[in-house]
Amino acid sequence: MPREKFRTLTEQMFYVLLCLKEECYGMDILDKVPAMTQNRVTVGSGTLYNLLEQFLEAGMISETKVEGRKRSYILTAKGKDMLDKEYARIQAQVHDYRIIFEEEPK
Amino acid sequence: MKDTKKILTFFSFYDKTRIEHYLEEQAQNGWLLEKIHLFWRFRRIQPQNMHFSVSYFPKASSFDPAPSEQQLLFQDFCEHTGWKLAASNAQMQIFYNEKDTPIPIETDASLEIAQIHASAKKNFLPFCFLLVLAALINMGLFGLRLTYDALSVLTSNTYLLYGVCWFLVFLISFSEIIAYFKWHKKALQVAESNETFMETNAHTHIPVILSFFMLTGYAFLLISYGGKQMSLIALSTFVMILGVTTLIHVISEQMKRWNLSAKLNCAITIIITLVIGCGFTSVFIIGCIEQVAAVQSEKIPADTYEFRNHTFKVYHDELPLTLEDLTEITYDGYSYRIQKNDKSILAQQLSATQRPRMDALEQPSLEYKVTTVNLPFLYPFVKTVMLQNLADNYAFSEEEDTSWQQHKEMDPAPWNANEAYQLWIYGEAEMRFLLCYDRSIVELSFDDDWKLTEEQKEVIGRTF
Repeated sequence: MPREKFRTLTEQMFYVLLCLKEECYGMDILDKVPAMTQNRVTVGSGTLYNLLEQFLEAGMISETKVEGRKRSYILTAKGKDMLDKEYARIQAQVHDYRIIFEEEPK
Repeated sequence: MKDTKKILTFFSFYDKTRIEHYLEEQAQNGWLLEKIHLFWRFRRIQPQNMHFSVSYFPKASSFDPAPSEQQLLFQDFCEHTGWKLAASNAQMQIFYNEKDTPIPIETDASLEIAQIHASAKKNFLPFCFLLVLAALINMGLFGLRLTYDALSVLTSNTYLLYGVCWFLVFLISFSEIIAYFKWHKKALQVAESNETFMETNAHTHIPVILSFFMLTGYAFLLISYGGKQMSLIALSTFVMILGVTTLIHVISEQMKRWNLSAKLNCAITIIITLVIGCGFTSVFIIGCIEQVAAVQSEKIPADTYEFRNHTFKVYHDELPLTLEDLTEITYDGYSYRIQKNDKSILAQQLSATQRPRMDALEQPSLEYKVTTVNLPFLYPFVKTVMLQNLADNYAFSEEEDTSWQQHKEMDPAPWNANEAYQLWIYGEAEMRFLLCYDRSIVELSFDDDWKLTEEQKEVIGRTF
């Protein structure tokens, strides 16, 4: 069954939104994500373009500056909320993992 | 040594995997793609290993005067990671990268499939559905003609090729649609389950083979006409269609240079296509068909005569059966004419008449049609049609009850036939017969006062 859009974020979506905590050019995200994750996560240029379009449409980010074809974006409150939910979900998974492998008490 | 080359390719719109592999092979052989249209144009480069990536930009249109700002921004993003644009055509953008292990342009399988689908819905799928619809309409028209004039269709290579071509168009376009949706469904499942992009592998050899059959059929048709004049007419039709297609393309490209918007360009192109492409082409083709028919039927008469201010032609064609074969004839003013001699790979029909001059109508006349069936399985169908035609010729309207007329079976032995029928109207036997031989069926008409003898039946049997 297809995932409901943005109900959970993929790793790429998560890190793109994270990069936009501060105002940032869209293209710079292509370098920021690998730097942030020690090259563990990369985002394709086409995927990034489409994600930014979708995040804009969903109101999760907003455009702050347009200089020719260069555009800057920043996270909105809705985007921050989505990130917080994803963070909480990941934390819950970590917690459950630790319980199962008896690293943490129940 | 040439620095550019053009190749006709047969990739399906969505078949990015095979396109990428093909372009990588071309680069290894020293050719880089630089333009896509009907032909793909390549320019010579140093042979090298390159990575290619086919991306789909749904917002692009083949009618855009220039790449939009959004499209250029997309290309800027790709260039940031080393992907350079090789060529684009409407929604399809092809990039290449000279790095050994470049970051792919698309790293989210579900998103990539969504982009491909959005692009396909813009051109590829509507075009395929339109072709299917056009094919169904034309196959329907062909089927309709087969129901009310089956023998004209079966004895005409032109009509048969028309039916076969539209059937092949239906097969090609329908199979493309099915193949696409099969891949799309499976690709979505794969992306959902393990977040990878399922490679495409469209089987384009089937459309290529079917297209080859269509062209071969057309070439066969040109040869089957047998005459230079008719072949030229048919060939000019083909060239005219190519010319009209090229003209429409040139006009559309010129509108792009004038910077007309994509919507306006699209609307004008559609109107031109309907008027020139469909309207003018149809008139031209119909004119050609009529010209072909006129050429085929045009014969130089052996003689002419005047009767009541009208000019009548006299022919001396060689007929398989004449009245002189059946009885002693003293009158020498007959016109012997082969009215029609249609042939196709399925059947042949010859229509012949022997008629006296208009000032000698008391003389006997003869009329017959000989239909020869080349494929045995068609024989029962042709026989049924000819029996039906025999009855229909004497019905005043379609709704009229035709039970007052019947085909009665008669002894075929005197005719040396397998079956024989005679037409009866209101309980009286008419001098109209249908004779069934091994491969041919003969429809024979004598004057009402003709006295048919056993010897004459034997002669007819020997003739056919």
